[in-house]
Amino acid sequence: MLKIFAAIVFLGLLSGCASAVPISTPLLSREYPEGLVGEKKVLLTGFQTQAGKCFREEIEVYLRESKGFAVLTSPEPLDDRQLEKVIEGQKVNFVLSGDVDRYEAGSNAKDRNLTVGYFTAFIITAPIAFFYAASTDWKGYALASAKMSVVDTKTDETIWSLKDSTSINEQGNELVSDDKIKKALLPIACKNLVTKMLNNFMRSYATNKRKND
Amino acid sequence: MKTIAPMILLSLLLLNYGCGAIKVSPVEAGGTQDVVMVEDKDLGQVYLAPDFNFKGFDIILVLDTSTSAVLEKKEIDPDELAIYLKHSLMKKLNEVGVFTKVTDDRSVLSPQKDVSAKVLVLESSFAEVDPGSRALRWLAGLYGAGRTKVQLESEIRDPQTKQLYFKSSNRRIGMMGSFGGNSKDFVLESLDEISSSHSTFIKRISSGGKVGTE
Repeated sequence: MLKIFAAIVFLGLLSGCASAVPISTPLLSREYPEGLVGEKKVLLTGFQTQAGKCFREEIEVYLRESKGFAVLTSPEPLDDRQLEKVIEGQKVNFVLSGDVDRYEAGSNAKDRNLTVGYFTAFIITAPIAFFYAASTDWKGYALASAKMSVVDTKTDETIWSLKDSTSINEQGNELVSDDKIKKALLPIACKNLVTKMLNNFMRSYATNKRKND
Repeated sequence: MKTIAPMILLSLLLLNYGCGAIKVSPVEAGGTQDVVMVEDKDLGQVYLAPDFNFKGFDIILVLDTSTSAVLEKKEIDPDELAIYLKHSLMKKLNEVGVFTKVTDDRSVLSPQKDVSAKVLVLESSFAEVDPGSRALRWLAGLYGAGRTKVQLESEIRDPQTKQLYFKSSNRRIGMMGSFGGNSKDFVLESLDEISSSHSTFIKRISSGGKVGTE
């Protein structure tokens, strides 16, 4: 009987650790204002850190799919002179810059898996591992905070700036590793924060555009 | 087998007993003569303005949680907790559906916005965040050693008149988990439970319930 329990838990550990992390948090939908016509050129700067990579990619995708903005990026950080050169040479309309303040994830999976592993190690305590795994969930979270601002190159004024954050939670009963949970949750936090912030920019942009038209 | 069964049961009890955050009475709940706080079954100590029941308000704006009273400790970054709590509160308040919109976007207070939409502002601050000690919890968690402590004070006001509609003081402790239980997990669980108790309370009051322990 105990051997069967031990085998079940051992197999559970093996198969569980190999499975994907189920995510229930939906991706936020992009809210593009109506009537975005005539492509404005946006130069994307900042977000040069490792954590910023996901943000840079998401901003590019968001703006490109808006059909109202063309995105220019620079692989390296630009100094003021280089920035001016690009703005003039490429006839850039807006400069979007920003940075990631916080981008992290955590879970109780390490503790949970350690406990299950510990009790699985001894045949006599294997049932405890089985019941423990069945009765406790893994819980993971990811949070991100970032700042962004947009400068109109024509007037050299900051037309929009925002500091915002997001956090997502997930839980489940599978035996998954802490690393897998973090890898699954972080991109969702990044995508949702970029969408949340740029939706705010789009609302602000549309309001100002209506005022100026 | 006869000796194994009780051993398993005992181990399970030890593993799971006290797991999770436990609601306890808040320390120094900040009531005054005008703001009399009473014990509530969902939240710790609560004040609710007379005849106020959250009905008729469309939007609730959840502001950043103040961390000024909490020092950063190993395992605990108050700013991280503040972000976690804000989004946990927003998620739980959204789930109960009392308000049409739950947001952290301050632009809802802008005069250009729809003036007919009635807004409430939820402000909160940590009064205490203590990660305790995992080693102590493992050794003597059952007797209260090394427990994690989280206490949150929250207020709901009218953004224009600043009238106080709701005030609460909510405290959670984490005592025991497997091998003492991870401190940060206990603290985050406490924040989730505090968020849930806020939304449950608001739902209860808006459905005609009363403040109290029954």
